[in-house]
Amino acid sequence: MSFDYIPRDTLVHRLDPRVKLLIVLTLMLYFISVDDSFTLTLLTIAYIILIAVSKVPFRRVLSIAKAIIPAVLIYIPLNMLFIAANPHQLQLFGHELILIGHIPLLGIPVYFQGVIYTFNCSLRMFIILLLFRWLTMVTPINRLVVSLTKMKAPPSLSVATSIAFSYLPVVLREAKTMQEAYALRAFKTEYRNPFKKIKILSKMMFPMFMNSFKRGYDIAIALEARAFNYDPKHRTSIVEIKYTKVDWVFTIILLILMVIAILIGRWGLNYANIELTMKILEALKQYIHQFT
Amino acid sequence: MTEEYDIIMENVTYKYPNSERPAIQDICLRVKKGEFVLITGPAGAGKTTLCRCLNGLVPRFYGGEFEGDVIVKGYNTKREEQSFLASMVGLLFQDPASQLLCATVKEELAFGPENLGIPPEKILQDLEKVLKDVRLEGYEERSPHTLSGGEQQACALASIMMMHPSIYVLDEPTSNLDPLGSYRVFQLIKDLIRREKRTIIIVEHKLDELVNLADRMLVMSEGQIILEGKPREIIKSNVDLLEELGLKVPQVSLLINKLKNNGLISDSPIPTTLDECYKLLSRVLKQKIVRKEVKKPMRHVEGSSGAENNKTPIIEARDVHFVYPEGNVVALRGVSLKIYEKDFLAILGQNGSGKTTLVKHFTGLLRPTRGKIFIEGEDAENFTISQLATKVGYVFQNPDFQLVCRSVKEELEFGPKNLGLSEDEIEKRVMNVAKDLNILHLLQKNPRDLSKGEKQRVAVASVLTMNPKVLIIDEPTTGQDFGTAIKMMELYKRLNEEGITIIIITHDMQLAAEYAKRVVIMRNGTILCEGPPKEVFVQRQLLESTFLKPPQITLLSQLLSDYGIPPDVLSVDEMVDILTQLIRRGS
Repeated sequence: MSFDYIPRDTLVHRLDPRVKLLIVLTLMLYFISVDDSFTLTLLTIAYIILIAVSKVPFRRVLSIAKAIIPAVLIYIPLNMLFIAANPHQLQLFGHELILIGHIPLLGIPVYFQGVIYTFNCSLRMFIILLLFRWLTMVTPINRLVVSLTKMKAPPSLSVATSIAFSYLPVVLREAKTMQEAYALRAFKTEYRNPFKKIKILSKMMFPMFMNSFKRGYDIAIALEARAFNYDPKHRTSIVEIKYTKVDWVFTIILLILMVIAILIGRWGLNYANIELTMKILEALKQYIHQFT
Repeated sequence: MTEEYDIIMENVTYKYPNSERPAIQDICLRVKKGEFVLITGPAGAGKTTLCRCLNGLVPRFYGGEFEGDVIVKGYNTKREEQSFLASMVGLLFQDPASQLLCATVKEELAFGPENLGIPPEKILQDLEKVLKDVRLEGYEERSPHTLSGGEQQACALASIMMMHPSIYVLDEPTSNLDPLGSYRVFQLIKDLIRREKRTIIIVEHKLDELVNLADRMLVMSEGQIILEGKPREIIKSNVDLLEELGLKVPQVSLLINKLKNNGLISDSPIPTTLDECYKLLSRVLKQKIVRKEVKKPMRHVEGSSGAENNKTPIIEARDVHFVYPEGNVVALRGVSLKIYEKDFLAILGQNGSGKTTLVKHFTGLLRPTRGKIFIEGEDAENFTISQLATKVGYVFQNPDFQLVCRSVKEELEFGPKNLGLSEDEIEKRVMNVAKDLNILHLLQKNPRDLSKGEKQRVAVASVLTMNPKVLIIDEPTTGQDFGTAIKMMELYKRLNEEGITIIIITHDMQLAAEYAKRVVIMRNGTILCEGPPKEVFVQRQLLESTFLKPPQITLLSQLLSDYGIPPDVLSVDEMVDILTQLIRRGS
């Protein structure tokens, strides 16, 4: 299943869930504040190192990519049409616009900066989702939930989250059974055409929702039967979470990094800008020129 | 007075919202501290509703109209918080999976006491002990949803034991389990009775397991308690009524009752256990038969199992291996099987033995990792799932997954429509099947509003409109009461007589014995043995190795083999015939 925790004995696994959440937030901040392909690539490498350090197999991390790719594929053309074609938007990058050509038939201009911009946005979206994927793979959901409760989240919220995660495999299994039931009555469920796919999904949605409602009802009864609302204020927990020295060190480093990220984002600092990519590309061009 | 009784129900009548008639009516019940009460009755009798009154779920959770009083340990459920009641009354549900809430077994067990605010150290101490009691040591970090049914139910029971309730209410704890799981849960319940001396109320259909343990038995029907008393007394004097209600009366009681009705045995009390019955019958037979006849008894020659003729099998599996790609689980290890037209095949075995995996190959849902499947002599590879669907129909265990349309009529039309048949043809098929299965009056209804038995009927009908030659039914009896199960089996028997090949997957040895022409026993991804029930069910050791128990009547026939009774009697009626002949000849 796609949300499984992979137990390993690494520093990352030993960290407090809250520190790991902070890692995710910090990296996310960098991905948001930085607008330059070169730095984004460096950040991506940082993410890959993070996965390697966590000893989590890449294949498993990327198994979720299949679900993200369609979203990215829809996003790219929309971005090219509506944002990347707007010179005003792109001028913010502070470099002379380079026109590559026009989209045939529509006549919408395609700028080099636009391409870079779209690439950056897609990469950003992709990696941010994968960041959360990493989090769920190195942190048992229940520990995450308990740490959320420690941060004063109400127990009903944390229990709901935890139940949702523990039922995910069950729901996926049910969806599969349902799909089989359709197939066995000669109903074609696998189409390449996305419109047909959506139509079929919508047909399957209704009974699936009905089953989920029923399940939700069962869960509510089970919760009641276990005295869930007995005394929410004095609810205890067997999962113990303690902030260690290492956790504190990481927290401080991450907080400093976060401040830097905010500074970069707020003032641009000229570094995190498309300018850098342009300079690198120009240098590369001249370098190649020397040989030709 | 309230001290003496743990539970007092006074004239309780309750109607669910949007329901026409009350689910329970005028229930009066007093349960003493430490008493063990067994409740039984057909589906829809109000057993579950009664259970849910005891911890306040009814009416607090459901709403509806509630009259009368339920007093639990001196507290009136009308006035107390539901969660407070839950701390006194531990409720175990029928479906193990829907009551497990947490990511690991350990947390599952801790969840209740955590809610009660018990300090973590105390919980962890308790946890160790309870895990040992339910034999789940070493499972602490497993996800409850990855456990087998029996283990899940053990985990659910443990999570209730962790709250130390004064009253246990167990609502059909074994109905959804395979024999191995049921055995395990019954053992735990017996341990619980011995160890804790708590008040226990259990709803159960498997009477023979509990008859000797329960202090009192209640029989419910249509919302009312119609019989009440010592379990053995009730069974002894009400066999006919219980059978009429569709309850699973021990076969030995049925047998002696029939013999009595036929005037062959007089004045002896009706036994409730195999042992009692054996003693009674051997006494009778000793008197009647002057000399032990060792002659070969008369055998009923059953209709052909189909295996002996030389026709092409309708389905053939040739050395099929299958490995589930997720997790590399080996599910089938070289299965070869031939199924002929008009066969009535029962596939038996524990959960995880590969039964469902095997039949999914017949429908094309799964393709063998190695080996081949032939449908009517042609390689199944050459067919798509849709094409196979017109040859092999598959009825799911849970009709909720199969019924997808807004009316029963649409449901029946769904398959043929996907096949692109003409409207006339579709209409013809729908009407024929609906008439045949006696669901004409349901056609305009929403499948979700039907009773469980009706849903299953509609599920079968929706497959039959595709005109399959083979009908596979996955666990038609699990979670059903005996009466409904019998009705469904009668339906399959009739369809079989009309020419459809039937394959059922089941745990119910008694029904397999009575209905199947051929049984296949699976274990660990292989076929352990196959043949007519008469040949397979006498191999006790082999059956025991898979935790399957032959029907009580077969066991009895084996005990009585000294008196010239064949060891392979499969049904009560057959036994009645044999005994009648023996006794008449003797006198």
